[in-house]
Amino acid sequence: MAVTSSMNHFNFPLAPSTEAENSLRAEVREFLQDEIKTGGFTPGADCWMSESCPEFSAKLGARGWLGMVWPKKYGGHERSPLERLVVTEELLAAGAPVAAHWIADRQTGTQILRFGSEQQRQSILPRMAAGTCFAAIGMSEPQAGSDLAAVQTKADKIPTGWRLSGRKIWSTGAHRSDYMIVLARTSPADGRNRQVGLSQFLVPLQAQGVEISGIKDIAGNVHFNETLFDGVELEADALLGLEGNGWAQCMGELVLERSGPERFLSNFVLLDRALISLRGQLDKHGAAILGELITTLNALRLMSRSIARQLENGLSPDTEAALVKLIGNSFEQDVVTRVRQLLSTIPRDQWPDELAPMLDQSIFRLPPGTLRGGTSEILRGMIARQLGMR
Amino acid sequence: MEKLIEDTAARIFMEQTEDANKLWAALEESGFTRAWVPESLDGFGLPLEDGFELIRMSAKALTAVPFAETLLANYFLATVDQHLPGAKFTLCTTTDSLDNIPFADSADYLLRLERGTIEVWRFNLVDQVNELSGNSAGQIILEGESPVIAAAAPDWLSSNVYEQMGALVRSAQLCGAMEHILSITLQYTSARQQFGRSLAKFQAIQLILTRIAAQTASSCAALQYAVMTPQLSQAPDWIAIACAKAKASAAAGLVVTDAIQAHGAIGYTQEYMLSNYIHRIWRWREDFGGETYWQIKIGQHYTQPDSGSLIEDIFGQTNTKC
Ligand SMILES: Cc1cc2nc3c(=O)[nH]c(=O)nc-3n(C[C@H](O)[C@H](O)[C@H](O)COP(=O)(O)OP(=O)(O)OC[C@H]3O[C@@H](n4cnc5c(N)ncnc54)[C@H](O)[C@@H]3O)c2cc1C
Repeated sequence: MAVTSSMNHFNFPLAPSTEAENSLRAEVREFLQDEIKTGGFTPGADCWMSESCPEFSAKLGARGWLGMVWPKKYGGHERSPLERLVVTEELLAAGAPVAAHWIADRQTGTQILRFGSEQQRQSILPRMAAGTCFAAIGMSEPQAGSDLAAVQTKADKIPTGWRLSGRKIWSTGAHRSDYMIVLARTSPADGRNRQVGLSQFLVPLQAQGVEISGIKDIAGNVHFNETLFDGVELEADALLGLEGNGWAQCMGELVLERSGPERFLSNFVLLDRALISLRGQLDKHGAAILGELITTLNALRLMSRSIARQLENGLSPDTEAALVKLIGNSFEQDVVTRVRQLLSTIPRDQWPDELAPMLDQSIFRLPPGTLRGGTSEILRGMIARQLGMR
Repeated sequence: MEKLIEDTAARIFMEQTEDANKLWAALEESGFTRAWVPESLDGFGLPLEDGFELIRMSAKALTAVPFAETLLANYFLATVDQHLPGAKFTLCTTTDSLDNIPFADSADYLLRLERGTIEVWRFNLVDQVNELSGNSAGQIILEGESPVIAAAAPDWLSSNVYEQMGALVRSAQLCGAMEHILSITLQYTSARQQFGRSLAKFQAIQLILTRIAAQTASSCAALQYAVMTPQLSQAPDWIAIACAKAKASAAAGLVVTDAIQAHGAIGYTQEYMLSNYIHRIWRWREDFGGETYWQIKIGQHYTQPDSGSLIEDIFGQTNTKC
């Protein structure tokens, strides 16, 4: 039997950790343990979207753990993506309240660095790196969810710059953010090709005509929003990057949005706490269930490190990121299901105080994982394309 | 792995797979069966990870000779300065049992570890047993009163290490098989037309293929890390290996189910090449511990009364753990 040379569809080169990373990790971990001990924060599940605390963000900024990969002249720290990954992993693993700055640090700042004017870089990035300036994502609209190219928000040229009209929805944290990058139409689609004629705008959210209203999530908490742009007048330099290049820029932004460890560590904190209660309590069946979770976590973590390494090398591992998000979101679902099942063998009144609220929180905060940042169905489409099926 | 070595291996596996004798001769001649034996002992002296890559390639090529078993046996033998030129070896794939030994009809020797002693035995086939195995596994009895070789194993080479290295070998084979199944399933679903278009265009089929891809990619990632952890002549990091084998064993079963489904009835036939991979997977996933065996070990490790924290280990300082 002949070997047909087996194609390598995905690329996950190993990224061994360095001494510098290890000492940084120790430093971050010690800081977080101190914060927990001194009541700086209570660990929470889904902390990167659900636990917002500007004071805590400022503390991280002061330590140089925000804007880590940006140039020093814009308040950054010129560290590597893998070093940034060390920090984000530790923050997520500890369930720290990082939601306020998360989007600015992860994607908006980098988009400004890539496409913003010099003036924008100088005035905004240092504040983002300090953890005092926050951002939201303005992609989705009522009629444009997965089908993002269907956005109807439009920006018209006026003598002083641009006039923005339309409606964005589901923008996480917009109600406590300073800026939003908005994807808007600046010229008509080219026949059936709707990806042309789109542009990105950096919109200050306190501008005249911006109206933000909160939407309650399934637990009754306001964390995402509908944002109305009612003829908002923007200066010329609000156009981010090139006119008409919005789609490509937005896809680049989505790689940043999708490629991080928050796509599988959202409820690591639950698993970690549950383990303590499960000590000495598991029969073999229970141990096997737990062991299976840990093997998947191990694989995800290795793949996630590999993605950071590839970003470091200037590559854009977008399909790999989609794959990690897909597996990671399903892992997060398994964590909640399995931990719930395993803990059910121990009477609730024997659980440590923080465990029950953490489990409830995890259950409430689980559903959007497979939706936000691109649904699992859409990610599968991307992967299928990479496999040559489309 | 060096390009020259990889090309040579690809050529050998590709050209000689039809004829087991020729294949074996080529593997011997290339030195690949002695890839993990130090040069000072007349071996190839390749890094462990390269040997695992050869094993992965051999699995893709469906080699019907005990290449992986012999590679590992020669590695163990070299630790006691022994060498049996040209011999084909098999191993105990379930703790000490002689009931279900792979290549029972074609290997020359069995290498096992008995109470700290490396033993090499001649043996006789009693009964062909396992119809899952594809490669003529069988029940054996040892020949003669005593082993051909008996030598005290070095301290690090415990029966756990024997099992772990075996598990890692099987993980590499499982990964190779899964990668190949992904490729053939893609080729097949692209070529096969129903309702006037290729199956690959149906979203439901794409779902199946992305599932295969996800299982394969995560198994390969775990393998890639695990093969970096053992050092020549040292006990390996058992958790990394446990993670790799548990992942690959569980994944391979899912991949088989999905691959058959995407193929339709042809995938359930003996004649179609998928069956050869499936037979091997169904055996390899159980050898040296199936997923449940390793999952239990991992789960217990993290829930012992005095176990360390998962954060420490998973995002460890040293990164030598899983
Ligand atoms: C908690 C949360 C936070 C969010 N934060 C933000 C944010 O900050 N900024 C922002 O812009 N957006 C945000 N979103 C929106 C998110 O990006 C969208 O929910 C997502 O893109 C899906 O769009 P939709 O909800 O309109 O669903 P739809 O696109 O209507 O999809 C509904 C269902 O149909 C499936 N589907 C759609 N198209 C296809 C197809 N071609 N093939 C197969 N199945 C398909 C989907 O997978 C899904 O299952 C957030 C969402 C959530 C839940």
